Amino acid sequence: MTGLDAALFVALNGLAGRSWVADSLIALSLDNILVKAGPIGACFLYAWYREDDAKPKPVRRRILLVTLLSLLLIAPLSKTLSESRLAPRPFLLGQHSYVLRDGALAEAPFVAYRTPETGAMRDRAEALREGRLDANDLATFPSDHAAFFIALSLGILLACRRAGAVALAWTLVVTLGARVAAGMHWPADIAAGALVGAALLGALQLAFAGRAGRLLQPAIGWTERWPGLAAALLFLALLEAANVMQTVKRALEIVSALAGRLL
Amino acid sequence: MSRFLPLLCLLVAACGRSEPEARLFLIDPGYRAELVGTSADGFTAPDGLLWRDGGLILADEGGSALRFWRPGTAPRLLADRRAGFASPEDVAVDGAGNLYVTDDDAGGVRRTDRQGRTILLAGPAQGLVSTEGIALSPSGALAVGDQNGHRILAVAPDGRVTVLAGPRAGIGKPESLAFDDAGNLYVADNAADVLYLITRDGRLHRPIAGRPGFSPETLFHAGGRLYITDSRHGALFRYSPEDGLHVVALFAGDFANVQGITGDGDGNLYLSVQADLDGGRGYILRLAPRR
Repeated sequence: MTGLDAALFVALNGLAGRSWVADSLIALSLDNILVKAGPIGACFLYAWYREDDAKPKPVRRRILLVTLLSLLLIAPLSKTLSESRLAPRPFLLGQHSYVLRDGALAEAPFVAYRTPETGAMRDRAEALREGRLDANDLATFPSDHAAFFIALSLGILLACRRAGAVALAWTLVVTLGARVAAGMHWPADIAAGALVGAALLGALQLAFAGRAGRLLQPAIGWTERWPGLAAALLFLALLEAANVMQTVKRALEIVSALAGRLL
Repeated sequence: MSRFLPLLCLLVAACGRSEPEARLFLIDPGYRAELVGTSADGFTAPDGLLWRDGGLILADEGGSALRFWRPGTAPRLLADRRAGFASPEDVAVDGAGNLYVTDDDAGGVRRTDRQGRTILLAGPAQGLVSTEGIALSPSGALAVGDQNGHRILAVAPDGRVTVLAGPRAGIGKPESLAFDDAGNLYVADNAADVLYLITRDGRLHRPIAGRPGFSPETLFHAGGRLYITDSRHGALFRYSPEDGLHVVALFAGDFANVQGITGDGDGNLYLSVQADLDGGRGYILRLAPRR
């Protein structure tokens, strides 16, 4: 945590704990999928269906399909990175804490954390006072939400500037801004996550802009022949994306457990 | 290549670690924390602790040894495998300075006197196959937790063993025992995640049971309060019948496996942490009251 990081955090967290209305809006952005990611999904669909002579539909749909594909990789990559080191969420540093450094205990910087009056973060702060510390609260860097939603927004931006600009603005202000304001992330977590998401998205888009893009041609053609079914599948995919692939993650855990039992 | 350089730097930064990572969060602001010892000081992965003669008696489970250690000095070996220790768990002391030690691998209760002589007071032959918690009552009776038999046993100075609480009491794993000033016995059961209380009239109570995020490991009673470590959740609690249960501190990373606890009578609490039992790595932390 640098001085700039702390200052930015304090500025944003200063919005919390002042009014129940403001805290409710912050909580809504954190806890409610429709508020958190609904508009981003809507921008995706706008970009998918919009008729635009400047960018042919097959090109736009290739970009958007690659974007969805990148999300499957970004989620586990970001999670792996964040779990590789101990990085507590800001709300934890509202307690006096110590870190092991050079063989001795050093007092960690104390953060004057403002607890929201309502929502999941208030519950987490309460759980902390009761002795319940979630392992996920020690793996904040980089932010997997930032990696995920920045990649999604940038993908939409590549396909359609207007929709992408709206998606990116919503991501930065609502989806990610609320997480900093509530004490879930430092600004640096967001920046690092954004870098991870943008880098992976960029790599995949470059790869599929070349010869590898031919692999997606059948799928793109299929969405033209079966628009209704394609829309249904897109709805499910975007719903899962809004939930940061939690269903996919849970399904993989079940498969892994079953495989473990059978083998 | 230059486009990927920032990502590579992030990956390297995220993966490169030369020192174990550990954190301690003080939920009770009335304490400050210090790291007073690590394995580099000459012990391995200690479990039970006891304060005596200005220093700590360490049940050094990782080193199969009983040691005496004053911070800043080299530990003194009191007894080891030659005395029959395999996995020393917990320690109690009587008025004459004799140490009583349980062992969940070798079983039994061993007594080490001030001259360093160790005898097997009661062993597997008397049913003490795997012993855990141990405590001395104000009246001088020795209570021992028997993991294998799911019992609390009383061990007399001559080695006779009687049952204080049998399997019917429902105690799964008596990991730690502690008497309060009135002679009531607290039992930490970290299999059932229950704190039991056996009152002097022999009745069994469950002051804490079914509480999420609570699995009592080691108990220490002082000043009318019971201090409870929780290795599963990386926590230190404080309990009294009047005030209930409160969190003192939370431990993470290399500190998460907090085990033993004792106090020095001046309000300072000492905790043992087993960072890596098989690798013989641990810490001793001190929580001192802020004055």
